[in-house]
Amino acid sequence: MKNSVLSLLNVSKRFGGKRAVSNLDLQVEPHSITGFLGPNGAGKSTSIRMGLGILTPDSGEVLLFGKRPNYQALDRVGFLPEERGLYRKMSVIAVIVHFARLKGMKAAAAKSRALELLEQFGLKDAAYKKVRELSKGMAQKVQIISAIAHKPEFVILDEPFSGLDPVNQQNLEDIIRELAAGGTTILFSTHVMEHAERLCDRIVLLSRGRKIFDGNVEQALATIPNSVIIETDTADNPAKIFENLSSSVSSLPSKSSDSYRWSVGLNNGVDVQDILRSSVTNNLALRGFEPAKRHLHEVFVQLVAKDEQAAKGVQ
Amino acid sequence: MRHIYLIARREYLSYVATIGFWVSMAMIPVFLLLGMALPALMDRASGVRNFTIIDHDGRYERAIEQSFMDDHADHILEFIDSLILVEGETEELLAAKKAAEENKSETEIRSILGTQRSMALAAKRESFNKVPPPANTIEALRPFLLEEKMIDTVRGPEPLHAVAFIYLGNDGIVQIEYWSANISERRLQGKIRRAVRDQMQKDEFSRSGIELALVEKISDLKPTITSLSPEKAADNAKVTAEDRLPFIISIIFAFILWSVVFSVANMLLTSVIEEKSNKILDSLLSAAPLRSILMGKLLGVAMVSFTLLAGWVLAGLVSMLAAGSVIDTGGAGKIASIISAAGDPWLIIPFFGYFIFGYLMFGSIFLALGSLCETLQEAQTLMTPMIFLMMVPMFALGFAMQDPESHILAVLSWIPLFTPYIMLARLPTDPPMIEIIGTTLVMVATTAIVLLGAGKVFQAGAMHQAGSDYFKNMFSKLLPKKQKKN
Repeated sequence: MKNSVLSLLNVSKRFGGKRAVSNLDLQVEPHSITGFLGPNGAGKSTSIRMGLGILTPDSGEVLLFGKRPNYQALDRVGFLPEERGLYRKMSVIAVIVHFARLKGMKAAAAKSRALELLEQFGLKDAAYKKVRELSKGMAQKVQIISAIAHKPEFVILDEPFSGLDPVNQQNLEDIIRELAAGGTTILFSTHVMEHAERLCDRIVLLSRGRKIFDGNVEQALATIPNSVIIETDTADNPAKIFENLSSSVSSLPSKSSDSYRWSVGLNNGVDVQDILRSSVTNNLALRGFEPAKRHLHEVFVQLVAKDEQAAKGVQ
Repeated sequence: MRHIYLIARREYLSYVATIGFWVSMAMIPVFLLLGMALPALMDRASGVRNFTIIDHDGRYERAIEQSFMDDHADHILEFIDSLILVEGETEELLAAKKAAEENKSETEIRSILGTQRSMALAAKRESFNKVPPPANTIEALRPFLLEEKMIDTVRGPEPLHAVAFIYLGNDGIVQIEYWSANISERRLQGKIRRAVRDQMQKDEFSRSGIELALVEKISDLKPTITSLSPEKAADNAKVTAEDRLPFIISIIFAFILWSVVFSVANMLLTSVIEEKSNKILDSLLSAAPLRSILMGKLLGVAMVSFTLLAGWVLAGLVSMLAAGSVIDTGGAGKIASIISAAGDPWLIIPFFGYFIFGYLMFGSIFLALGSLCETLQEAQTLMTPMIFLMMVPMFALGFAMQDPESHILAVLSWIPLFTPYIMLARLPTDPPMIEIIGTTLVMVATTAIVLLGAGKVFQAGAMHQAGSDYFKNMFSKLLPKKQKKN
């Protein structure tokens, strides 16, 4: 915790009567990529704003580089807010230089760094264009450049993929990897699990302002059972055959009119080989057998659903 | 300091580095010049209007001619008075005025005035010129009135604007038939009517046996009035144009102050709305403290206003010089006396002091209101009361032009939002020191409170995404809650 780049220690925040964040503990370790996940309204942006000192928590403590957020510490941070915007009447280079200078860079250094990044991001020709002349994707890139131009040690990206087309999403993934490879610590929030799964060393999942998961991707995937997809000749539900091995068997849309597909959820400690063995032993007319790959998406859906059900139960 | 400087710099350049800013600044001397020169330019543009009189008697025509000559003499006298107002009562001007009052010839008056002033006087042409009738019947005159035919003048062929037939009606009353294609121009008609009326009255006096000289003597009776100031030495107590200049300048300064504060406060409003609607505030807040953003914006726009002021001062000087050469007198004395009155430290120092506080009060209020709005339409709801409030000193300044020592102005001076404008206008009246110090203290204290309050509102708007319903919510919290009925 002492070496954490960012620590949110038991922080809570309410807006009016509404609880936005509740007793949240979050540590962002140096040189890591941390995914800050959660559905809309889970409290991700509020937590980030508290982490930057933009909002003050009602209770708990925030430490940025080991101290309460201050503007010396913030000079070491690059921030891409969820609600993005730039000065539309300014030129691209002027905007980047302005934000880099606000973060403590000298004018000449800021300008040469801006030109270097614009070239790297394929925007060299747009350097002296007005921001209002840019496409959304280009403006997004300029915003990212503005956030990282001052060579921050810690970059916070709030929903960086929203509004980007798949090509630009891939570009942004590459940029994040590149920054991380250069030693920058990254915290990014998203509710698109694919990006988190591909990029993160660690994920923190928020629901209704509370942390419901904190660990690496493998640990997250382990929270949902293994499953296997089988294809049979008959319409009979094979649940009985896997009675002792499976927690659930559910029908899936079939690929052809003479076959039936099933998703078989595996109990803890059960291997896909056990399902195959049981199918053969019980003469199940198998036409297909495919161990299913677990994704963060299912983890997200399941954990959030579980949390919401628990909340309803409490109510 | 770095944050304040950079935010102020960006704010300043965002206005000053636009062509629109310089175009609008350049438009001010243009409008000022046009405003001053418009009547003269319109007069010149319309040219001299030729008219003719067909008077069967002959006496009325002579009366009309005399009336025009008298008007011309009055114009010369007014012209000399206007010179005295701006240049002071110089020996030359007093001599010219005496000559004009004694009905001396124009040539003589011009020789006293000197070449430059005479040229300005020559520029003041008469609007109407009486010409001999080119025909005697309306049928024959109609082509001239419809500009199908031209009359010969010393300036060359020109159209005939109007013709007046004057004759005695069957009822014994003098009739004037005024013919003109221009039915909207009524000054000439009025002049002719007044001249004929005066002649008719004179005739009637004569018929009634009342001595005309006596009538004229009685009509000319009027007191002489001299304005004196007890604040001046008894042997030199006469109030001169120079004495009045500080009052005029202070009111102009107050208007300028009001205009600058109003313009730049609006700039702050639109700037913060732009940042809020463009979602820039979060980026800024992660880079600079809230108070630096506030101070940077206020400072940046204050620099814009100083640029505006500098531009306006320059524009004012250019306009005065240009207007002087276009319309009236020109003359270095005029400019010198105005600059000397405007450069009085007793006005200049308070002007900048009042500017700072007036600007901080209105600027921070507008900034705070802007932080609660995403669009200008949204801002209009919050702005309306502020606009009404800002209009009060504007009306009060109009009142100050009539009576700067009015009690109403003294009372309004104590309202801190109005203090900068009203007190500035009142300064040449030497208000009591207690009022100057008292109103200043109230204004400074209010500015501090307004800045604190505006900071809170800005914080709510910028950080907590409070909206235009902020004040409504705040007041509803203050009101006692209704008891729920079981």
